[in-house]
Amino acid sequence: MSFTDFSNAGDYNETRYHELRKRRLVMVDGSLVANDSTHLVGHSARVFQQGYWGFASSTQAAASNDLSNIALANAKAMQVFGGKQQRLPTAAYQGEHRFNGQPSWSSEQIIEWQQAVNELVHSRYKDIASVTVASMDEHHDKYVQNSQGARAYNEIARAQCYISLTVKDKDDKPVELMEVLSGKGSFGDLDMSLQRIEEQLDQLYQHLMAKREAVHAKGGLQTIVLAADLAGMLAHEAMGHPCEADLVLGGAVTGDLRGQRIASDLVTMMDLAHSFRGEELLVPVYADDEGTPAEDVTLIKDGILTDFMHSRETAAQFDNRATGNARAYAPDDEPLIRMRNTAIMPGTSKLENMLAEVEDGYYLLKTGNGQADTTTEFMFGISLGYEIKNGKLGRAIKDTTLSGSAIKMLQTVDAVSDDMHWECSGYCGKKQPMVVSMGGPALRAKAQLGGE
Amino acid sequence: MKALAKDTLAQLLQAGFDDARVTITESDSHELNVAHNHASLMRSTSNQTMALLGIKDQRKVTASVSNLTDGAISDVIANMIRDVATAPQDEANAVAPEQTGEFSKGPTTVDREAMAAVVQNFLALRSERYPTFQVEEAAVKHSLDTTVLVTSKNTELKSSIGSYDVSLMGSSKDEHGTSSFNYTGGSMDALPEQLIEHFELENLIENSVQETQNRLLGEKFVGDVILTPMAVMDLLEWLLDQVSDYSLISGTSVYQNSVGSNIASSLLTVRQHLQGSGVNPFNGEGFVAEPITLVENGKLTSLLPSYYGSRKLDLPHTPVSSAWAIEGGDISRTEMVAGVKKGALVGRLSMGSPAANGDFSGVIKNSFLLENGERSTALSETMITGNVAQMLQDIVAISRDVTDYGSHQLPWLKVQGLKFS
Repeated sequence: MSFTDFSNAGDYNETRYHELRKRRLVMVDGSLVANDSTHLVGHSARVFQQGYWGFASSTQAAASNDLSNIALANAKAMQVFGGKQQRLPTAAYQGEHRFNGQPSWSSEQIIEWQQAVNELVHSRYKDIASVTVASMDEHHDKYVQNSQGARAYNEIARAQCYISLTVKDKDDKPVELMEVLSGKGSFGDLDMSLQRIEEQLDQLYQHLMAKREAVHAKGGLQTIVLAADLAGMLAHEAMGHPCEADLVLGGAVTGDLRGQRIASDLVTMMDLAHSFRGEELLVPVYADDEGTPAEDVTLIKDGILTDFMHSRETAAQFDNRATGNARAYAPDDEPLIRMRNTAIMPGTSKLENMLAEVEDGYYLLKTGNGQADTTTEFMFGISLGYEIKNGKLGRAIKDTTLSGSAIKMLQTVDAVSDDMHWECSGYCGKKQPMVVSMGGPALRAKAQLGGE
Repeated sequence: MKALAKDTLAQLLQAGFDDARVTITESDSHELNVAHNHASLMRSTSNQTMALLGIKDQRKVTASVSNLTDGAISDVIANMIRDVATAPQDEANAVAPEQTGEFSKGPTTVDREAMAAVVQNFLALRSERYPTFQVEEAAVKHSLDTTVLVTSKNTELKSSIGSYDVSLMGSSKDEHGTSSFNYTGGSMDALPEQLIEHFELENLIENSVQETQNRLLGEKFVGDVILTPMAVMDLLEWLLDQVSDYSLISGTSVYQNSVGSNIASSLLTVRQHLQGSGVNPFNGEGFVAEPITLVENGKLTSLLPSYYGSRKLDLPHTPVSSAWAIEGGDISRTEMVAGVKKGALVGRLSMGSPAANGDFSGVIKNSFLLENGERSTALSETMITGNVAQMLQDIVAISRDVTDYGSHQLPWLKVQGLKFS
């Protein structure tokens, strides 16, 4: 498939041909409970007419020629709510970007690998109550064109594996920890060698044994050191979402804070389009699903809130440039403002020094999920953490929740490490799911921890 | 649809599968979207998908495609034959036997004028009564899903389910500040004149407007919580996870051996809610759901493994849908609040998934301090810590009023003994 015939309808219009292939294989203690593949193909058209949008999609190729007309009719039907003149930005991208990775693994190879990991865990580690190995990949081909001359092909491909180990504690209650591997491309592009997996699982098992004896964290405001992969989550959840222009229009507190200090001057945060320091990122977006050339957005510069992420429509409303953040997940989804590769930029501190300088606090290493808020109050679940006592790591802590006002927390950041960790596992949720990547260095700050 | 499903089933068996299942779904939807207090988009989608399952030598594979041409279906069957070869043998793999029925419910055609009218009414009401409440996004959607499911064990099911689905997310902003976002939504068979009277929408908005003035609690104590329906949903989902496949097969369920035991307060009764709007009477495996009572006066009556899970673990199979109702109690919501010495009225829990043993700590959002039987100020940055299994045991009151969300009917729950920080 490539670009389709194109008709002009409305003040602005775009069409998208979108092919989505996914696989999901899940093995629980050697039983393959899921062995699934999905192949969705869809055409869609979206029309902007006198301030309103109409959208139409179909999985049937024969219906694709009518979609622009249906979308136009939908936009016209919206005129019952009034009408307004609004000009959308005109930047239009022309280009095609493919990821030339390694050949993917067959389902047969994935199952054999899962069986090998299952056997490795049960033979190498004592007292394992259960092991789950989940392998998922997805591949998006998107051809987008619009009435302003955009003709863009983008490919988003991501593979991820979760390995979850469970043991029982002294009260016979389950205690779990999970290791995640994720990356751009296919399983062929991940380092899934058993030697590497063994090294990672040895560490995970050590942590799990520590967590089996874990104590409750102290509830309340604590000094915390966030490991690099948690800082990426902080960037995404706590300040990323409130800097999406549609959330700003929806009342997010960030709307009144542009140009003001909202973080320590050690904090610079960006949503990167496709590259960082000359290397292509995990979710490279060269043009978004509105055909807008994608550009980097500096959200926080040296602690000052600077810019928001935009679609064509919000860019027009803010009188800003469209930034290439309008992305759709499935063939029948309309583009929404979504992050791409969101990160806090590395600083100059060493992680070991950041830990050594803490008299009484917590080192937080793994998270399950997180949630943002219009107030910038954030939350994410902590599935692995340790006490820090007089600069040394102490006992593991039970599952807890980190929360607080991101603005208050980021203003307390007093150290940022010089390393950087990127990850693209899981999904961001906002009406539609979305593949995004997050990056960050380790941070030291103060935040609320749930506990005794 | 049925002819195509049966023909594809025959192709799967002819290709070498011992057993097979074919599900074809046609979905047509019309969705009117609101963004930032204004109608913004009308979206029409038409989707066809075919989901296939094949079992060969006790090995299982599944696939789904949206291209239903002969060539595409042949290709996916060939790929399934290739992929099934290395799946591990598992004698628990099987397809639904001897299930038959045709079901139809809900509105089969869309009334776009009614959709526009209900959105206009709602936006006008918001503007007039609650101007500081900001609708970040909302949608009114009509969908009609027609599904045919056949298996090689004489199952033939068909459903045609229409419904109107409503969703809303928003927050308030005024001279005092910004409130946390909140959301609600559900399904209904017909659009009402005033949307705000459904799904706790008016309560949500009234509370949101007050939440711009809030305070940090800043103290630790043990108190009561009254969970409103969207927070009750978190408890229910955890309970359902614990009695379903993943937790049971991995042996991590805290209720693995609890059938017949009291797992909750005697006040709690949880039933299937098959009559709810938008609820399909049969599930994805191809079983007609049974109208069971899962928890009766606190006692767990059954586990809910899938057909595969039940064969794997040699457990009874009780087919269910995803629709549940918690029975209302005998106390008013006002009386519930009046009985709290110190605690919180919780609109929403923001937390990670509880630990496998039920331990959790979460931020209580859209929540109000309760002191000496009265609702006081809205709270910010307040956390509660506890154990979900213990919370089910510690339910001390259930409201008489139950909110209908279509697939779920949920009351308020009062739970004692949560740690606040």
